[in-house]
Amino acid sequence: MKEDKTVEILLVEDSNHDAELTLRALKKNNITNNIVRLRNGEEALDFIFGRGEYQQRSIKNQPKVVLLDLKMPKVDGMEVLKEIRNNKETENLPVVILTSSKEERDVIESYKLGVNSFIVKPVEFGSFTKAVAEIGFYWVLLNQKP
Amino acid sequence: MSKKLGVKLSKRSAYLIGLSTLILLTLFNQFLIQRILNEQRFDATVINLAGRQRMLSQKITKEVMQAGQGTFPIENAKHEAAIFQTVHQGLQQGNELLRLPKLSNQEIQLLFDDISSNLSAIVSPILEASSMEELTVSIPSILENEKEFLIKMDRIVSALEIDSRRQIQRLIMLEILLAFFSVLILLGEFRFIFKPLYDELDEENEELEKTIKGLTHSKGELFKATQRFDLSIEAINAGIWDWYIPDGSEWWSDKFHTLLGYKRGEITASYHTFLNDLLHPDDREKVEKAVKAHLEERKKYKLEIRMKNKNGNYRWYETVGQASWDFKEEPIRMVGSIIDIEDKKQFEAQLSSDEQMLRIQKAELEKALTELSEIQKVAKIGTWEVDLETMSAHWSDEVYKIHEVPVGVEIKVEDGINYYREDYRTVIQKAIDNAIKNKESWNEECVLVTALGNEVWVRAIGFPVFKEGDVVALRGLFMDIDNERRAVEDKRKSELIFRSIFNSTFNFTGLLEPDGTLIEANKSALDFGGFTMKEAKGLNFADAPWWSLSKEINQQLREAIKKAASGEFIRYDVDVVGVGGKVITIDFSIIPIFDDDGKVIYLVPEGRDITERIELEGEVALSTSRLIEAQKIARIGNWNWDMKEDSIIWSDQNYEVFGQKKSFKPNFNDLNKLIHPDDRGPFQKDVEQAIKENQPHDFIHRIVLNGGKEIRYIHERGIVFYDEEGNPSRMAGTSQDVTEQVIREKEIASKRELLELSEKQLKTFINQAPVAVAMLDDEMNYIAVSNKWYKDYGITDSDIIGKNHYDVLPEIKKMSKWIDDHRKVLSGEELSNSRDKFVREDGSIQWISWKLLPWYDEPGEVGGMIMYTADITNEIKYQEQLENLNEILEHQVNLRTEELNKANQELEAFSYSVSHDLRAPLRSINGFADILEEDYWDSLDEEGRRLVGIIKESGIKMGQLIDDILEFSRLGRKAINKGVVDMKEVFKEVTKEVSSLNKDLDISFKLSELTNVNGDLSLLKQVVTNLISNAVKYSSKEKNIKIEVSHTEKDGKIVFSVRDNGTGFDMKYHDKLFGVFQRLHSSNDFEGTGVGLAIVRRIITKHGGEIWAESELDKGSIFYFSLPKT
Repeated sequence: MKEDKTVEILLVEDSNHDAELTLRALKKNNITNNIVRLRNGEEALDFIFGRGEYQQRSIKNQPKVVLLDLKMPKVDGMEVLKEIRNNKETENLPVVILTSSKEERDVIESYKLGVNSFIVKPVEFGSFTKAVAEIGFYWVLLNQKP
Repeated sequence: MSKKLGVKLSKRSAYLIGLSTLILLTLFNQFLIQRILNEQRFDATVINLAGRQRMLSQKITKEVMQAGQGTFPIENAKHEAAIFQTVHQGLQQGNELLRLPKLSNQEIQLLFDDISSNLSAIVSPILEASSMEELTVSIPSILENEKEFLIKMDRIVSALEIDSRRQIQRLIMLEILLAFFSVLILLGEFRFIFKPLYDELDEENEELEKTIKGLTHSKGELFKATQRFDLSIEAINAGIWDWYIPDGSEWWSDKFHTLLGYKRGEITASYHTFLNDLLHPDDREKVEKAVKAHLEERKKYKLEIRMKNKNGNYRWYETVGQASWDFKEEPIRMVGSIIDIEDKKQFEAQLSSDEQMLRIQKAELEKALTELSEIQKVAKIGTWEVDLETMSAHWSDEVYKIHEVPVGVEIKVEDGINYYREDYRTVIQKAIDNAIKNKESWNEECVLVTALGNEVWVRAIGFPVFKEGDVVALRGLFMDIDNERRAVEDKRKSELIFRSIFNSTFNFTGLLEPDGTLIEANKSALDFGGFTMKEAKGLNFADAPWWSLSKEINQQLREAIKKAASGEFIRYDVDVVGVGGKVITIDFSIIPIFDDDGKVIYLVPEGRDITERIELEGEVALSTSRLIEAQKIARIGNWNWDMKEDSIIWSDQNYEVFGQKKSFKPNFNDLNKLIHPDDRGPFQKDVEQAIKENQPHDFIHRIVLNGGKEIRYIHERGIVFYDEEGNPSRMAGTSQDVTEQVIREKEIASKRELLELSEKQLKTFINQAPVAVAMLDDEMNYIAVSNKWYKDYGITDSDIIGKNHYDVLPEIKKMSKWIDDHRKVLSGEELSNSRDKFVREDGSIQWISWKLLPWYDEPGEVGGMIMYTADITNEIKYQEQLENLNEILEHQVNLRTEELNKANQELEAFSYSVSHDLRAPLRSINGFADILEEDYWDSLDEEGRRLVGIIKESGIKMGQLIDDILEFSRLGRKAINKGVVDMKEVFKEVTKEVSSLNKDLDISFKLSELTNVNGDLSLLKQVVTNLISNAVKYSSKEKNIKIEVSHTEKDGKIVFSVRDNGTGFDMKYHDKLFGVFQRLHSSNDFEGTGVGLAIVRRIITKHGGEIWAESELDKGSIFYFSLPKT
């Protein structure tokens, strides 16, 4: 049972390495507050909708941004995005896809489903750090929720 | 008293005053007339001459030039110059010969003074030149002065024109004054003289009358003067032309130009221009004829012609002209004028067409009126009208009369309908409704029941009357046609009665024209003959089938008709033949029908069947007489030959058979002479044999008549009689003229021969025909058949001629469709089928195409059919095989396509996972190497740091490789999305991007004008990006990088080129340039994965283009790519 604490960034990423790199990149840019990392889509949905392990969580208490990997076991990123957008209470939740895939169809599909940003994780770490930092700045510090 | 005297005096003095005033006025009038008549109008001549002078000066200079070149004799130039000078002086100072007055206008005089110097500068050198050289020297000065002369002369001409106009104005003033005084005189006549002094001044009246006569005369003069005046006006309104005949050049006045809507100089003045450009082509002949007549016969030249104006329209002009001739009587020039008479022409045309229309209309109207009144007189016609607005009716008297209603009785609208007999009311009501609704008129024949209860036939005609498009009234005619209608009805009735009697009688009867032409025959007669009236009408009665039994019967009838036509009643018994050859005997008569004058107009033949009666009589009368008749009919004569006396006695008929006169008393030798020379021998032999062997003599010989013109065949039959001693004593027998039979038989024989011959030919032809063809009769038996027929249908029977089609090919018996087709063809249809299945007896299938045609025998009946067939089994087999093959092929293609799709899908899945899965570990390698560097920098020694660097570098490079290879494979699958691409714009964008990415380099791009192409914008941009980046990359070692982009067109393709001044490559390896992972430089020198150009080639190939490159090491390279033209 996890308590209902306020979260700023929800990172959904199955690869530990990538998660570590992302977190490091955020940390490097001093965005360390209230980051939760989940390993797959199922966990993410439970977290967002206050189900299963996250029953205490209020659906009203949502992160400032969800960073979502696409290719994940069980429930993949696209399905998570779909669920979020289909629910009245979460439809406005900012979601940024953060993935290795550069496939055009993924990009198009994501935007169709209403993603806020689609970012391809660069291979080079410097660029990667920069990209993550920019996401953090924008969605956590600058963006105003509706 | 004094009052009286005063009155008298005043009357007298008034008379005197009046008279003197009148005389004064008359005198003044006469004076004015004289003034006008005396008015000398030289202005037109002067202007004309001035114009000519202008031309002459041009001509002279031309001649001088020619003289200078020796092509024109100097004497002629001198002659022209002399004329030129004389005319000029004449113009200035007056000349008796030229009938020119001295110039009165001071201003023009001055102008003339001014021009004199130029004139003498032109003329003097010519006149004084004693040699050609002298003249040549002065040519420039002549030319100079001629130019000035022309300008000044133009001034003079226009001044003359102004002056002329002034004179005209003066003349007009005089005319007005004249008119004014004339009016005063007229007023004077009435007011001052005639009215107050009428009673007292009879004598003076005469004088006055004289005065009036004088006045009338003056008016005549006045009229003449006015005409002259008009002429003067015309002269000025006219355009002047001056034609120098020898070279065809012309001078046209300004007015001439303006009349045609031109300005001077816009057209070349020449006779050629006039004839070809201005003159209406239809008038050309007229003009040329008139000019010829004028120049050769000096006939007056005055024409009405059409000329084309500047705006392209033709207008009518009157032109007059006068030529001048030289001492050799050769025409030199012709001067004349044109006046615009378009309005006059149009007015005339209008007038004549109006007049004509009026005349036609009047004639038509008169004709219609006469016709109308005539008709009304003859026919009983009345008029009626119904006003639909007030619902009131009006009848004319005749309508009342027809209705038998007293004239003037008030008529109600509904009366118009109620007087009709009940069965006609709806007809009329409908017609009226239709007239109101559809605005149509009616014309019906109806029966009316009059006020007195009589039924009358009337013709009712009605039509709607419109006001502003609505029907406001009905108007019409009413005609009593009762008499005509009744006459028609009566005639129809009587004819019906006659016809039923005519047709229902058992007797044969009919009606003939006196010449025997059949007009009518009754049903009994037609039924017996077996034909219809339609077939018989117009036939001569004797030619009708009833009378075809024998020539004699026919002849007898013809004579009977002739006699009957002359008024005789004919009656005799005769045999007639009917349908199916039935012969009956009729009691036949012909009755002539006479008209009132006793002339025969018709013949009525009548026949009653009396066969039974005749048959009874016949048995009794069958005797010698009948034999004679029979012999006559059969053309048989008797003969008896007394051998001992050698005399032959002939019966009357025998004489006819031999065509001899009765006076001919033949012996055997005489008979022999009649016989055809070729037949004499055999004939004699037959006779001798008959005598010798006591046999019947039976022989056909020819006789020659009319000196060889006629040949008859005679069939002799005879028996020999012997005396007691057994010696032949006589021979008796018959002679029959069998010429007709013999000839007919011969004809038949020859025809048959021909027929047999052609049949034989036909059979041979069919037999040898290279196609399967068979000819069958109407019972489907073979008449002829080709060899191919046997072969195609595998007929083993060697001869099927005469055999039945269905027996030869028994399988057809089961094919009801074919049997049906055969029946159709035998009833005259033509049938064909280009592909038909023929299942043979052994079950094999034969495919054939066939055509069946009926053939006709002589009477035009279907005699059978011709079958053309072709065995197409092999073609069909091939076709089927082809179809099968195609099917298999298609199936295979589908299979392959499926396989290919599967492979594609697998590839896609593969590249997707590569993209995702391969990148993730790479990122880790990079990321953690980075962390290692950042966090453990201090704990690493030099070598450790270097190794971390290598890991990072390799990782980045591998990432790039993966990205490139993915991009390359993606391109293979991507469909191109074509549109118009502005290549110049694409290059501009790309060079801008590349420049901003390489700010440290000094790059100068040179883009020439580039054409648009049809392609995928984003892909082409990728191509351009690649090529430009490459160019920059491989030139990056240069100080000043120069990149040039241009395009050309070659073989229907657009070829773009990108040239750099970089390191270039060895052409030895140019084929490796565009392969995947192929690199010509080490990545230590230039970065890269070796995929870029492969991608470029893929894009270009997908667009249907090509890519290639030219280079030399260290001298830069040029990359070309071509794209199809839009």
